[in-house]
Amino acid sequence: MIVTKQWLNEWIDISAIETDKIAIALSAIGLEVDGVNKIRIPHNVVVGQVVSCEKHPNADKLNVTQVNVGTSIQQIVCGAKNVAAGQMVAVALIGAELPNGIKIKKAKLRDVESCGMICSSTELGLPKINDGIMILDESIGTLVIGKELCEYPLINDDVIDIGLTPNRGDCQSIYGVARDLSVFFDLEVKVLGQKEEEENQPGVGRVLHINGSEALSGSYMYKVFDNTAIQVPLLVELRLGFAGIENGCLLGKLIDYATFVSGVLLRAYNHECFGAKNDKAKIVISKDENGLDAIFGYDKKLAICGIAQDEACRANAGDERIIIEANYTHPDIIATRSANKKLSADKHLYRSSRGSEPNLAFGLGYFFKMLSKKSTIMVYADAQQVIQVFEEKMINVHQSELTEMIGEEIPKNQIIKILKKLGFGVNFAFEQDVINIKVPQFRHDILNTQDICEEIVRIVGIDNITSKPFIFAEKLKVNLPYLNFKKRQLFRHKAVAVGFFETLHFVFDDAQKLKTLNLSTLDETLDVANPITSELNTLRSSLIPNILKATSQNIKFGKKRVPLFEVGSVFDVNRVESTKIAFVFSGEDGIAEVTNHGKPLEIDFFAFAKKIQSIIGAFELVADKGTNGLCSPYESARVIIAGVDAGYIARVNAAIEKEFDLLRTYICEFDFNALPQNRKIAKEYSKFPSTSRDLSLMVSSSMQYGVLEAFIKTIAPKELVKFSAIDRFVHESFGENVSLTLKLQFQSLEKTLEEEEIAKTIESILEKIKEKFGITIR
Amino acid sequence: MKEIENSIASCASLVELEKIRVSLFGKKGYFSGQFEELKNLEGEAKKEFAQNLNTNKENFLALLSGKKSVLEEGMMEEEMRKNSVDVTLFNQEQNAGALHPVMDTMDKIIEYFVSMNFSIEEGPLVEDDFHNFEALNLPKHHPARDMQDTFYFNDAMLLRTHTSPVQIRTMLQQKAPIRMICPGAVFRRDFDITHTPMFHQVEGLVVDKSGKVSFSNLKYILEDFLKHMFGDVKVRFRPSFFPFTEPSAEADISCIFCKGEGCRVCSHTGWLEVLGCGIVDPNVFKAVGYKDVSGYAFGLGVERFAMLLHQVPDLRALFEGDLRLLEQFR
Ligand SMILES: [Zn+2]
Repeated sequence: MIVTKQWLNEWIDISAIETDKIAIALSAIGLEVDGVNKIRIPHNVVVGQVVSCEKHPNADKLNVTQVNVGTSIQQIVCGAKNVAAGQMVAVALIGAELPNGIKIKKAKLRDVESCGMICSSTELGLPKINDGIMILDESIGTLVIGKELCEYPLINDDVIDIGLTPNRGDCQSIYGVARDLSVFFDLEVKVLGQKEEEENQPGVGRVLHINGSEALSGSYMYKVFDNTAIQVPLLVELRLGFAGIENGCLLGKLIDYATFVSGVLLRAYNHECFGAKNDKAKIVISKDENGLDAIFGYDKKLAICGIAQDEACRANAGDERIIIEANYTHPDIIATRSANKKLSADKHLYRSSRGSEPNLAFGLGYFFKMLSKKSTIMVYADAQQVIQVFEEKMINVHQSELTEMIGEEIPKNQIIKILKKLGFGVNFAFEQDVINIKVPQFRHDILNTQDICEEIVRIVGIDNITSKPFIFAEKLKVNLPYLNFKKRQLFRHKAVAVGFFETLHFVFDDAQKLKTLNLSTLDETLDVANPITSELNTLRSSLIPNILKATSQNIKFGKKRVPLFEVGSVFDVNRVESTKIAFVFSGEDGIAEVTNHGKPLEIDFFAFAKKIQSIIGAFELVADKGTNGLCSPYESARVIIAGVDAGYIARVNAAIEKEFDLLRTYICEFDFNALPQNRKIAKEYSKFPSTSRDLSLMVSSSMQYGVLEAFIKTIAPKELVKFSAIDRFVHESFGENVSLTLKLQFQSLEKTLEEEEIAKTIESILEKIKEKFGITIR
Repeated sequence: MKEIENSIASCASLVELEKIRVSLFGKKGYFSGQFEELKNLEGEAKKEFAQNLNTNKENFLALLSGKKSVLEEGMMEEEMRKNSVDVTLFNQEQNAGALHPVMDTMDKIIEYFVSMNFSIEEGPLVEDDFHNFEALNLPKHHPARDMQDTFYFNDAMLLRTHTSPVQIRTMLQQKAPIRMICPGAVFRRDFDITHTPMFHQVEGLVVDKSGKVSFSNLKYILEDFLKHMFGDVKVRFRPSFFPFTEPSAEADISCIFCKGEGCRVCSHTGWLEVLGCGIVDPNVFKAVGYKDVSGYAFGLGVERFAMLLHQVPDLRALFEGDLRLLEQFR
């Protein structure tokens, strides 16, 4: 909603209040100011009159004008098509600096001297109103030739942009904003647009007959005028420009202006749509097939209450006899019905569905006042109407309720004063707690005590209410979401310490892409109905694809090492939500520095798995051929945590590495719930030294170490506290075999182990694996 | 004797020093000889000789051990010197990762409210019309639904447009008093410089007996919270509109960039809008079957907080996993 200081000033006297204070006041009462634009026409731009206007001798498109600028007559070459002798115009004199940066100097245009410039509205920093020069009229003030335009306050205005909340339909007009602001500054709202007596004019009954059926929901009021020449004052054009309202029709401009100022919905109809040229127009208003009020002419539906009007019946500035309608329907009816029936609507819907001004006579009166300013017309006396009786809304409020809601007592007389200023009817007995409040018809948003409370609070000013701590009973707040929050935090912090960067992606993905990667997709009946783009047309089933895209981008930007992770929601085929944690590592495992002679190793399966282990704790790997289309079948495993399959870890397969332009890349993804967060129990530990032995074995190259490992675990004596593979060595002399070195660690809870005992234990292990697998020592 | 003293003093290695020690105290050394001679003496002379001898012996032992520790220290020094490094070669590039600024900001917000004895509650991202709109006093065709462009699914479910449905779920499951926050992702069908289709909110709700929870309580906690997050800022409240609260307000902080003087970030107003709040609308309580209660609610955008706190200029950059940005949060 756009208002200007001067525009508001027509309704409430704010001439002595600075615009910045007005802006603060508007924000304080809940009409949030998004910005203020102060329009100032530069110096040396004066009112001038075109004395003569002739074609330029050497240029078809230019005119040579003589312009009276008060102190002298200046010759000015002007390119505008609409320039003509007699016009009052804005003249930028030599020395003027225009807002667009142009400095006016004496110039020669095709050999003709030009001393100044006749300006268009935009050249002065005003809104665009036409394609030529701006022609002045007295709507901006008495025109005095030679007077500086910066001395005309009506066009040197402060434009205030208000972000209206949808509940405040009553402030969708200049009048409405002025009415609300008047309460803050304690000002009287001027009475404008009252019906002026059309003396000696024929009555409207001669040219119009209204037939309103029973049980209409809206109110309608009509006036008629005969039109000779409609003209629009400059100030109206400029203000429509400030408000961003465009209308190509002169009559339309005045209609829009009157609606914007008064808040009353107005429509103009060509009289001929309701009757022959010299006949009475017969307007029929009755319910249409959607249960909405509709306007009929010759049995044809021409308009629907506050929703739409047939283009063909809309009056134009050239029509001879024009019917002006003011209408009002409760916004709830408009909003519900129009949306239910999916009706196409015109620009009135925005206003009507939020609540237009119900005072129809006021809106019509204001329109005719503006129309008659510059146009030659004949208005028929009086109006015809179909008015619904307004059901008064009463709210009884206890003062104590307000006190409890606000947290402190607002004096009763202050409450009453605020409500009265806002247009509420107030009845009360001072000794009693109850205030009877009658809600004015234009406040569609006021329904209950809390709405009344809001009115009090916004006028008192929320900043004037004392802040008080809330007293409440102690209660343990540790619940599952809290524990999950702490768990997430724990793993996220660990991931960061191991070198991963947390990312955040939309939960959307590309369904087609997911399918080609063999990742699950939503069942079609459950999929997104109105995706924002085709790349984000479904919910993701894995965190990895989005992270890989980010990885790819980072590599394009020259990163050699990209470690990323994310915790987030994914969805299965039935759209069941679950939380996953995923890691991606691409490129070099370290930074180039002196210690590695500038050549950090590339990440590999075991280095990646080790990092993940540092974050999520112990797990076992079970080889598989790749969980989805992202995985390489040769470096891929399921990850088992405490016996539960928690996810997978793999190298990205070569095709994907190529497609995404990745460096050597590893990925893993786990069910977040499967990550352990159990209490640790301390076990008894040995106080005696431990001894370790390396053991090189010849094993078949096709044998998985895991098989051997599992077997040793079953046969190991309790003194073998730990063992692991530390080297795997291939040599042509080994044939089908490889050399596998194990490190065995021995320790006893009772004593320091003797060399012989250890040797004996190793001997027995060797015997058993020889028996089982034919493995020998190298 | 003086000569030996000098050779101890000038001795340059432990090996050499050991040789000197042997020459003095070895089986065939100087002192063995002297003690042999002592046997040949008697009376005063023997006593005097013995005294001299002992003094000498102690003197040499002290010289030797003194010299030994000097030499040992020297050797350790030499060893350390050989291992000396040019500390300025230290590579400044870090190996550690970083938390995402939005998630980290969310953690900080959550920690404040947990410290204030709020519980954390969660709810699903895929919601139905009742929890997301209807129960929150947003009936169909309410003009305020315009503000929220919603992602729908083919089965008429939707992606939650705010975290408020969690309020409804919590109130349907628990009895008052309630003191909760709900952090999480929300979705609007909007994608431009200042909007992303997904962003994060933290929503708060306090419900207690009728007449107990007031606007002044709401003001108190939000002022305290905003000062906790942004430091020494001024806080102001403006009346506003949300369908589920009445009265409703928006809270602004004095601009942290220009200290309220007016700058580009605050659109030259000196104020930054940071959250919305209000007294819970009675229709919301009615929808969940609560009677004789009062409450307040508030909600804020986590990305907005993160962008202000960390001076991140571009909202969309937060969702791109771009290390050039993320590395700055180490
Ligand atoms: Zn600022």
